[in-house]
Parts: sequence; C-alpha cells; structure tokens
Amino acid sequence: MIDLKNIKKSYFVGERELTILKGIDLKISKGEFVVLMGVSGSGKTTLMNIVGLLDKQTEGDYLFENTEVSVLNDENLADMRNRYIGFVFQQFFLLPYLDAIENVLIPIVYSKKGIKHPREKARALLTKFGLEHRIHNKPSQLSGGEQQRVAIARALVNDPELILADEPTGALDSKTSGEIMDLFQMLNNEGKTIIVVTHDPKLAAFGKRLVRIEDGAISEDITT
Amino acid sequence: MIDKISFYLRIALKNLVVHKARMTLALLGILFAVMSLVAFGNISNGMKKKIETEIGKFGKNLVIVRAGLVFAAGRSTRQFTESRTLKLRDAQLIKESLPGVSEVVPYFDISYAARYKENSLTVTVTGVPNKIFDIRSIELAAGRFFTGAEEEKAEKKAVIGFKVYENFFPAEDPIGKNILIFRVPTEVVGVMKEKGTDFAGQDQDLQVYLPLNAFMRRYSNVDYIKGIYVQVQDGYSLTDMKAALKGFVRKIHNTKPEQKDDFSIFTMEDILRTQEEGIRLVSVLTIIASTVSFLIGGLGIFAIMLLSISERKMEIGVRRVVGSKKRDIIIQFLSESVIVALIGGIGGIIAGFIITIAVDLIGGFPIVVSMNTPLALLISMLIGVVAGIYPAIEGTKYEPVKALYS
Repeated sequence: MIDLKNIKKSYFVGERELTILKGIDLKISKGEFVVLMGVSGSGKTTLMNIVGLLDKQTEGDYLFENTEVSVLNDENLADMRNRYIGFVFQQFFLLPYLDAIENVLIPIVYSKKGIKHPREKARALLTKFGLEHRIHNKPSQLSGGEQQRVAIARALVNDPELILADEPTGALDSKTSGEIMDLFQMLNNEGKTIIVVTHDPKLAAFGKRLVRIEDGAISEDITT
Repeated sequence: MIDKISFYLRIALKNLVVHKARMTLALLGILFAVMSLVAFGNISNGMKKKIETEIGKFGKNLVIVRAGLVFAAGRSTRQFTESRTLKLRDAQLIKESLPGVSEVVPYFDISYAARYKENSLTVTVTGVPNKIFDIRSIELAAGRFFTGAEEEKAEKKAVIGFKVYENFFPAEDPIGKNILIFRVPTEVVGVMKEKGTDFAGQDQDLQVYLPLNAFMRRYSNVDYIKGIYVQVQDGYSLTDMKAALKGFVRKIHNTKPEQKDDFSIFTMEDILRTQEEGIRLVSVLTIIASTVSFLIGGLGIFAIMLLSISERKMEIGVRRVVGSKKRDIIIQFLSESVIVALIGGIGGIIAGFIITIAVDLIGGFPIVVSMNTPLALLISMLIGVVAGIYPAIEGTKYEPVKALYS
C-alpha cells in the first residue's frame, strides 16, 4: 500500500537549509497496525504528512497504492486523500457549529464513491462508538474522548483503506487514551490499515509493528 | 452535486445563525439598497399609472385654453393674471374655424361657499354645457345630468360632487332639494360618483356643476368665461393644435405682436410631463442612493467574508484534508456571500413592498410591481459574487496542514 524509497524533506529557513527527513525507506502493507514513534522534532509529523498526501517530499519516490504521488497535482491528491485515507488529529478538528453527525458527514460531500444512505451510515458509526445519544450534540457539548470518537467516525465514513492518526490521544487522559487505542485495534481487526503517530511509548503496545524515528531517520522497525 | 450545494447552504445558514449580529450588519446595505429601488420602482409606476388613468378619465385629446396667464406646475395649476377677455364667442369661433377641433366646452368656475340649511361648504362651482359629462366621462351615483333643454332655458339645476352630497344630505335624498349657491336656490338633479382628487389638484368630490348659461346670467352676471376645453380629433397632433390655438386666439383678441398673451394653453400631457420630470428626478436620486448603498453593502459582505475566512482556517484545513479541492472552497464561500446578499435582497424586497403598500394606500395610487424587483434581486446576487470572490480565493491559499495548525 505504502512504499517510501529514500524520502528526504528539507526546508529553507532564511539562507539555511533545514533537513527534516534524511532518507526514509518504509513499506507498509494492507492490514498492518503501525505505531510511528518519535520525540518532537524527530520528523515524525513531517513523515506522516507525506504519507497522508498532505505534503510532498523534496527527494525520493513515494508509491501510494502503486501510484507515484510526486507527479500528482493538488486536485488528484485531494481525490486520493478522500478515497483512501481517513485522518484523526490530536485536536480533533471538529467544526464547532455542526453537530456530531454532520461533522461525520463532511468527507461524504467530496466523495466520488457514491456511498449509499450516508446519514444512516454516519449514525451507525456513531452508535458503534457508543455515541448514539450524542448524535445531535455540538462538539462543545462533548468530552474529549467523545470528540475524538466523532473524529474517528468522520475518518471512517467514506470507507478508506488507511486510518492515519497523528497523536490521537495527545489531548486525552490515560483511561480515555486506552479506549481510543482499543478502538483502533478493533478497526484493524476489521481489516483497516492503521498508522498511529505518537511520542507516547505507552501506545507502542497497541500496534503490531513499531517504527521509531530519530533525527529524521528510522532507527528501529520491529514487528511485535 | 446537489448534495454538495445543499450541504454548503446548510453550512452557510448555520454560520449566519452563529454570527447573526455581524451578518445582519453586513446585509443591511444590500437591504436598504433593494428596499429603496423596489419601493421607488413600485410607487413611481403606481403614480404613472394613476396619472394615465386620470388622463383617460379627464378625456384624451384635450387642449385647455384658460383665461389669463396660468403657470402649470406639479399637482396644481396656479393663476398668475386674471383676464376677462375670453368670451363664449371665442369658443364658438374655435369650433367653426380651426380644422381638427371636434368639440369645445366653455366653462366658468369659481370657488364659493354653497349652503344647505345650516351647513355651508366651500365648493368649486363650474358652469358648463352638459357636453362636459361626456367629455370628462363623469358618472352618476344618483339622479341625472341636467339636459340640453334645461341648459338652453338657463334653469337652476345642479349636479353635485360626492362630498357635497355627504355633507349636506347625510340622511336625506338630495334629488329635488334646493341648495343655495350665491344665495340662489338651485335644484339638485344628480350626484356624481366619488372620484377623489384629480392630478391637477382639484377635489372632484367638491364640485358643483351648473348649466353655463344659467351660471353666467343668473348667478354671477358675467359676459366672459374662465376657459375652454378643446377636444381634438384623432390624427391631429396636440402640439400643432396648441400652436394653432395660440395664433388663433391672439388673432380674434386682436393682440398686438408686442403684447403678451391674455390666455394660456396647456394639455393634460403638459401637466403629466412636469409630474414625470419630478418622478425622473427622484428616480435619479434613488439610483444614486441605492448604488452607494449597494457599494456599502458589498464592502460589508467583503469584510465579513474576509473575517469569516480567517476565523475558519481550521475548517478550511479539515475540508482540504478530507478531500475538498480549491474550487470547492471557492464555491462554498461564494455561496455563503451570495446567500448573505440574497437574504439582504429578499429583506429589502419585503421592506420595499411594505413601503409600497403603505404609500400607495395613503396616496391612493394603484399597487403596481415594477421590474425593479427582479432586477434588485439580480444585483444583490451579483454583489454577493463580486464581494465574495476575493475572500474565497484567499481561503484557498492556506495549505491544508498549515491551515489546521495556524
């Protein structure tokens, strides 16, 4: 599914070139549950943005579903993201003036998959995550854990192959974090490919594979 | 696509609800602009329609020759100089000598207090031959017109206006009763239907018509008249007729070239034109006012949209992440600015119609819907597009991730 070859990424800060990623080789297949671990500044978020088709590498090849993505334009990338990837973020990023179900439905607006009965589907996802009584609540009326589950439902509504989660438990207490990670495990058991990016060593145990990033390079890649 | 649009609409409406106060401020400019355009368009069309029906009622193809110099302005004709030189014979000569004249109606009118029992009322007493009832299409509520024979014999018969009837005879049948005009007992033979004020400013319901013969000889003892209605045959131009009449009346009055006219000539169209000039002036002012208002409204929407977009970077980021394209962002924010503008436009139309109905009811104009209404809505929509396009493009400049984390 994901095939990164010698991916490099650098920025210019003024005159100085700042290299964030120094040649990453990484393959991830369908059905994996990868925890991408690294301290802040290690380059893990940059890597996730490249993997998530939100940013482009400076050098190297990236095959996503056998497509070389460096040649794709903005519109193609937007379509690819919509079709293949569901995103989950630390700050949830729910739209404050929409209720839970409408937040879940946002990706459907841009979907070309012709998902049938999206509203029923969104309702079913929220119910599955224990939020049936929260369907018409605004994000401000939900707890952090509830907001994150709404965000995960949003990531799932368009049937993506891959769930990409950036510090999904960063804003949650440890009990709720465990619940969210259990949820990812459940989704992985249902066949979704999951990548969780985190600095929190406690989350490593939930994945099937641990990839550690240090200083822009992979320092450890173990299947547990 | 339908789903997308309905989703954008819902998002736009939710944002409107969240930011009620500032959205209302933003759309006020549009509202006032549309309101003035719509109200003015409807009211002026109603006024024009009223003027036209009144011309129809007054009688088309009429040229009026009035004794003395008369300045016709706005809603009332003003006498400048008195003149006693216009005679019955002039009317006869005009009818006999000028080609294109189909009928002449000489008249003598004066404002005077009429009495019945203890009641007194200032009315316009007009002596006329009974042809006037045809030429001015006068209709009766009761009784009859005085006849040609009664006119011939100078009988003291009166056809009274509706308000005269209401004042003098609230509880009795006026027909056959005698009212006092110039202390002369005059028999009421007919009551005219309610007509209101004509656009020359005369209250038609405070009229009393008497036979001209009787009025000149038995009431006011004069040998001159106040004016002549000249009805022109179809196919003759009123302008030519005015020129011909001017020359002819000067000739029969032996007016020397250096002397001024001792009469005035005008048509209903002349009065109409001065009124329409007034309407046109107001229309220019209205257009200026609504243009300014539209500009202010557009700027308001522009500012609100810029603000809204910088506040909603996270939303833009989320949309971009989950697969929206730049053009989706543009369409969404454009549809929001258009909706704001259209709400202003619809509010303006409602306000405009309320004003229209109020003014038309008070002024007695027919209620007419002008083309300004759809036009104003179209302009509002365009303002929404123009004011929203730059902010919408700004909204696409955020890269997805940067928008999220800024």
